[in-house]
Amino acid sequence: MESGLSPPKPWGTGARNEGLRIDIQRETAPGGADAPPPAAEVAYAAFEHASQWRMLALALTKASRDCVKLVDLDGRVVGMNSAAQRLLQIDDPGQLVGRFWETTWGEPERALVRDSVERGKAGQPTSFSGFCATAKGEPRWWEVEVAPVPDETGVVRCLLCVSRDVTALREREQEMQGALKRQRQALLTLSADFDANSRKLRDAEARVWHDDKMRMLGRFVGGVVHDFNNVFAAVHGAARLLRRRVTEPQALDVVNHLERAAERGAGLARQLLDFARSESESTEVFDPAALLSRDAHLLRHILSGEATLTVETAPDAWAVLGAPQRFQSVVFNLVANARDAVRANGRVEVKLENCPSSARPPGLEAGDYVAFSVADDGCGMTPETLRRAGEPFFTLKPAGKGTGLGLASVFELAAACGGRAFIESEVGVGTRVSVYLRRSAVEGEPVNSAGEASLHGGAKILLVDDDPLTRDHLADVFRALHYVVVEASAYEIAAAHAEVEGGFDLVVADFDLKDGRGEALVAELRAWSPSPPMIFLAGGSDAPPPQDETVLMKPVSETRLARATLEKLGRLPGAFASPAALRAVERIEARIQDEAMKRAMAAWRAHVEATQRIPTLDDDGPWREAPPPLGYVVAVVGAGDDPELRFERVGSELSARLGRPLVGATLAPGDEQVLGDVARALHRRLDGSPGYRYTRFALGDGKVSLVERLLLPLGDADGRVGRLFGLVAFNEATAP
Amino acid sequence: MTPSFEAPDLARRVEAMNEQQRDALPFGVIRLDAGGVVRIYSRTEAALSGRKRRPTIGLDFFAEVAPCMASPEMRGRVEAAKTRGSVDVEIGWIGDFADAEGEIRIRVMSAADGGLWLFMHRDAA
Repeated sequence: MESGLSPPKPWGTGARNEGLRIDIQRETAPGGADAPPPAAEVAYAAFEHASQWRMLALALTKASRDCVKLVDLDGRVVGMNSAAQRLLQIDDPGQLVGRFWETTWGEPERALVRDSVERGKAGQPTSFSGFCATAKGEPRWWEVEVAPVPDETGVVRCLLCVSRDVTALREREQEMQGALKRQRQALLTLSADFDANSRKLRDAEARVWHDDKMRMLGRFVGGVVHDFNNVFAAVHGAARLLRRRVTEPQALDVVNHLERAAERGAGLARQLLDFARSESESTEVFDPAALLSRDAHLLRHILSGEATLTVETAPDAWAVLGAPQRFQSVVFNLVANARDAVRANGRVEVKLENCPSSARPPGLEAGDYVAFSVADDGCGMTPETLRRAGEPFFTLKPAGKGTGLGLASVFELAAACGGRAFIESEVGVGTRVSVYLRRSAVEGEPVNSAGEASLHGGAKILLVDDDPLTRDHLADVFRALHYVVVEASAYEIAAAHAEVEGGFDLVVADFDLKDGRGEALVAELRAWSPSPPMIFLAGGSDAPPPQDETVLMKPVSETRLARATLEKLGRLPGAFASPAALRAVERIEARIQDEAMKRAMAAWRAHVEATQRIPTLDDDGPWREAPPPLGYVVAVVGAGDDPELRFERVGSELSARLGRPLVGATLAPGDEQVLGDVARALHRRLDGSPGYRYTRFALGDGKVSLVERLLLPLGDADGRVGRLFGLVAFNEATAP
Repeated sequence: MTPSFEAPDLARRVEAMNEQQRDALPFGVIRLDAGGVVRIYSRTEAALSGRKRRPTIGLDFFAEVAPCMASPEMRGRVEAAKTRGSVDVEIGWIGDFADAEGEIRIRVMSAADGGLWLFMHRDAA
């Protein structure tokens, strides 16, 4: 209805509406009596008849885009403009006209409405804002002005209520406030992270300052120790020469003494050299067992026949992330300490073994460790000495025999590798120093991506890991592959980076965050819009890794990580065999009866496990040669979700059984008539997973027949599923 | 004792069960009468195949309950086996349905009254 204002009774019958004019004058000309008359007043002055005023009122109301209503002094809606009908989504004005205005509002706003009506009746204009749904239930926010409308005698006759729809404005405001709040939170988090990092930096500075004395000594020693080494070598050489010529027991004793002193001097020089070198050591993934085995003969040399040394290393010892030179130096120091503690026929045992998380000693964070220990049956330490052991420069050895740096460097090494060192000692029984080094979350195999190098780089990666050592190392790996890496040490910091920077192409996250919030992180990442591709590293805790995500079990090889990155960035489509595909393989292997089929499945699996890729037609397997009598190869022609499948090679017996040549024939999805459900099964393989079906017939005729069908996807040069290898087997047995 | 899915005399043992016992089996049970019409549809089968109620009594199994299995191959196999009266056919799929790693096994055995028992075993991922 195109209605204008429909007043139930006239309210402006006078020739001139002085009251209205005065009102407007008050509102628009606060300048005082001397101010020039406002434009509105001049315009109104042109209207001399009440009818003209009514027309003006109607025109204004009609033209208004706001919801304009007239409310009588009882608080009933008596009229409204067409905008009101539209804004309130009212089909028939009768829905509103005649109702108490207050009742059209929700409970929280009713008091405001009532108050406005009361004040309006007393001649006082008011305004308020509030929420009121439309007749169709759509939420709306309104800014409402309520103005009294007096007659020519100044008596208020009704109320003009103008409601402006501010919903969009308000939503924008709320959105802005939400965004501001998130941004503020993100900045607070980042600044807290910055503070924490600054604190760490200050601590590090303090440590550097504190260690300065040692480092000065280190540099000094490093400079002169080579000369000392030469001197010791000369003395040692001279002693050996003398030994050949001297026969007199007393003189021989002196020569022995001389030789031992030269050896000890050389050992000391080496110890100091190692210490001096520690500045330039690099962090890498290393195999401590291999290092220990390699150095075993040098360690025996340190003992110089004074005691027996046994070195025992577990053949399957895990890798460690740290500085290998420092590890070697620590081993030498500990063995040298042990030598000094033991008597002539003493024993020194060096042992290195894996310590799974469940067996770790108290005080160590959850995780796998590599434990190595050096034990002797020497003089042992008193409790007082034990308390001070580990302090730099603390030594009980006679002047010239020890630097006091040995045990200090042991503790440093353990801390640097995310582990701890423990000393047990008893006077007269012996000493055992055990060092726990955290198992590396990364395998030491360097990135071997000669063919893929050009595919890397040009993407921004968010790396979330709360272990600084692993995070630094992984960041280095990615930066070496020319990626931009943003590092986050915790869930909140990752979320804050996303809020502030956004736009990550890939998230690589440790699922086993120490604060136990790995799952929260996964949920958060999935909620991002758009949700970035993700790779999770897992295996360090008992929590089940996230389903339906790419999860690399620790320790992850750098090659594997690099390839998973390409895969996730969509640069190697279909190359990866999914975890689901590998689980399907396990199920299939448990069912297959036919021997040739078992071999085909095993060859496919071996290739996938070795390379993380599905094999191509040229890789080793029964698909490489002419197909077996009951085998076939189907080529995937065309791209997209619905490629054509064309028989490329078909085994002789299969063709014979079907009674027609299949080579060159194509299959479409749903083409059930050609070979039963093989068309659908073939299309399923395009996701890179194998498929298997068997049918066992026991039909009461004394025989059990088994028909098996195996379908394996094969990759092409681009890493997509380019071919499918099928194998059928018919076997028969006598029924039990 | 609950018979296993692999039990040689599975049909005979399920035949001796009441509805409650059949519903308690870890695999689905369907019985078709001699005309191929569903007469029994166990609760496990309803739950596993996603049909909450049992509206399928009296429906043609292949046409209306499991159209994805209505290949001529499957129909023919079941029909031919039925006429012999001592059918025991087991079909298993791994990776052939939406669930790439799941396994579905179906065992079809003759029922005493000339119909068929269908036992459906699902191993989800």
